[in-house]
Amino acid sequence: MPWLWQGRVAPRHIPEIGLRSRANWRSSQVFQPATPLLFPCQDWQGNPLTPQVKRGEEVKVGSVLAAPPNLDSAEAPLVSQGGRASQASQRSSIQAALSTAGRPAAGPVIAAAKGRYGTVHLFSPVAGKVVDISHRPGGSGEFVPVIAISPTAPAQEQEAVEVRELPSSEESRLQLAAAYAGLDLALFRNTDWLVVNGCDPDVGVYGRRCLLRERLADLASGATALASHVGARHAYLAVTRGQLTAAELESLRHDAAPLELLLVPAGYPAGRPEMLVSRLTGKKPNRCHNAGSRRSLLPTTSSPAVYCQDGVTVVGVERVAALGYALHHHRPPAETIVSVDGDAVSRPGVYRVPVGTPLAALLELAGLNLSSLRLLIRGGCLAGQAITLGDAIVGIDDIGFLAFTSAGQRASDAGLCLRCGRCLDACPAGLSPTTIARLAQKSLWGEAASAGAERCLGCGACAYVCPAGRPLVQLIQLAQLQLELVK
Amino acid sequence: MSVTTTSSQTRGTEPPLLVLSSSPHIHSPLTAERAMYTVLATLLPVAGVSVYIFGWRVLPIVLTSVVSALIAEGVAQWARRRSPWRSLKDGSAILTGLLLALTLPASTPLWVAALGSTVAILLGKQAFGGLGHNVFNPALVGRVFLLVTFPQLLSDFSGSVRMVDTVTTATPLAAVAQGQTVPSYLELLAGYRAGALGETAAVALLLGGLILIAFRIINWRIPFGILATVAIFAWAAGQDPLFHLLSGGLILGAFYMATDWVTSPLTRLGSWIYAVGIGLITMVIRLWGSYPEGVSFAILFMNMCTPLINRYTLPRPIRASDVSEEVSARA
Repeated sequence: MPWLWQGRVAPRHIPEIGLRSRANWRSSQVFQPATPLLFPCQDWQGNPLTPQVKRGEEVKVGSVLAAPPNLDSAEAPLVSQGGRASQASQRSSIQAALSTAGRPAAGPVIAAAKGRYGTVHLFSPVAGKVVDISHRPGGSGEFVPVIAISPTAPAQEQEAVEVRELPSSEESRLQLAAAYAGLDLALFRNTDWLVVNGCDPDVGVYGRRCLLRERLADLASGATALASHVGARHAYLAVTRGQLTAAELESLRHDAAPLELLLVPAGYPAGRPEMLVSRLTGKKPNRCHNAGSRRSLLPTTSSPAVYCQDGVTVVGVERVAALGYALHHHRPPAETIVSVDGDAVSRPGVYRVPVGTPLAALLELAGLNLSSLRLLIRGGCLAGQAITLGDAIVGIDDIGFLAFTSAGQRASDAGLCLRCGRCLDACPAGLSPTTIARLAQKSLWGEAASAGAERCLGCGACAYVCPAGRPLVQLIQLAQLQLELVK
Repeated sequence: MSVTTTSSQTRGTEPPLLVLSSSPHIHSPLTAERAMYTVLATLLPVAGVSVYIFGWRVLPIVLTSVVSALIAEGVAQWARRRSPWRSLKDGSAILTGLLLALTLPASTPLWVAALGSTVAILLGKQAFGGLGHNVFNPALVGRVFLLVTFPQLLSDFSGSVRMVDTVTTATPLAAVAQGQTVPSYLELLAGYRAGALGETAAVALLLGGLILIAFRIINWRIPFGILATVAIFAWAAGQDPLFHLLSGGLILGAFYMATDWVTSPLTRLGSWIYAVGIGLITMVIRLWGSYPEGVSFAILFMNMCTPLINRYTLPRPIRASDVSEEVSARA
């Protein structure tokens, strides 16, 4: 009975604090914003891409909008699990897939695309006219070129598809579809366990459970292709217990056949990729160290779309569904499912929107009361990122947004540590957050590292439970940043 | 930690000022303040039972103790150039005053109660730097100060029980020590016996303690560990375990004093060590000490050991030597 003395063998989860109970939300019809669609030139890890289109140019569905920048040989590509060989093979197979494209202009771009490891191209999911290319803050807070495209028609009805001969082999078809979906197959190289994460990873977002109900066909074909490509020993679909009915679970089990269902207990942080890895490997959860990932300039503690550790690769269900869509329809995924909740919107719910919709248009649809809005969050309550309204764009990786009329907790409310030990109980990584935070407050970075600062997932459970309202996870993140600077 | 910024792209009449704060954006409803007031609320029935048993003289003692604790807290915070209002409204000073009053006999003069809670706040809490920094439970510091300064006043339980004819002026534990008749279990449970204001109402205390455990305000391991250790020790020493559980301030101490967040260990294993330590020391004092009651001293003694217990039970994921090498190698 180690729970008696060790604690945290099964971390005490934060219950699903449903802002309002929305278990049975279903998405409405696809919404078509009146404004141009916006595409930040960034890959899924936040690496910048170079725009390949000009203002006023007509683009078709599947046209290359942006490509990895041409790096000189001095800047060595970042190599990790995949290794250089896989990188080269990956690149060549994408090139092979793309070189069949009937668009001559794409040729030199692709040839020059010696991107760093993990970068992929950005394809246009709609046909239309490039009305603007401007520098705006992207998801990570850095300024990136954002391509604005005014679609000629809703994406589903568009016939203007970039003519591209379909690759003959199954493998290169998958490569092309993965490129369309923005997935880097090289990341899946050393995968023993593949986990498709269908859990809503944070409190207050509902996009994934809705996607599991509504895009099962895409999900199944994407997952089947991915699982056979990866050659993983086991492929799982992680689903939070209690979020789907028994009948829905049964249909998932049946339709997503190559995937075994991995039922995850309800409550934060059980749906985070780190926790899924820990569940499969039996090791204590550790912070993600994806190769090539860039630290965001804005404070964020949410997990990346693809997460590899210890032979387990966790990929979000929205990316897999996008892959399935791309495989089936031979075009980049055009729409995504996101939830909007919070007390600043009058029509909270799950919405199907085109990829690239400006967030302001989505929130308008959800009935945002602009004058009362005080806090806007991309993601959930516990690890989401506070953002400004104007520059935010709905992307493939977005699961939900929250709009509140009051700003959460204020740091000035924090009192002294009362040594109640709640943060120790809440920490899924088995650390002592209060100890690390105290050391970080004194700038004792080395001691903070020895107390395990670098193993913090940043899930925010400690700061959530702290009765004194201390900014524990924020201080630990500060220590992590300092330790990275020392490196 | 939060920055207010203007949203640049909104074309409204007045662009909203949004807060850019770092996650988490919500907080558990259980704040320190709420926990303090919940504990106070569960102590109200105890005080009610006390009034029922000992009469209206209980109220001035409690009020004097609470008010002087608040005055001492406010003055100390003012002298330390901290905001007095903030620490007064968190409820900790009220709780200290109330807990101290509940450990005093009904015949305590009011000035003694006032002195006790002033000492509790000033020496027990503010001398260490206020709530969160104190090593000892402040209420127990006040109580032990009074116990060693005015031993006659603090052990004078004469005329305390108004409900029962068979009034004994000694507490049950003292009665055992002196070979007098002891109250029955039922009398012990209902509180019809000599003792301090709060320690006699076992049922009300147990109920309050269970509510606090259910709300996860206190750590169940501590009262459970203390009571189990005392019962086993008493049984092993050939004494009546149930009598030892119900008599003296054991239940008040186990549920309300030992579980103080600030002065108890952080980890689960630490809580067990702490609880067993309190139980053992209590029984050693009860069986062989010169005082008939030992809970206060036992808790204070284990409060003293808490930093040591924390030191050895806090998780150490990485050995310090490895990191110092690693960090120096990086630098």
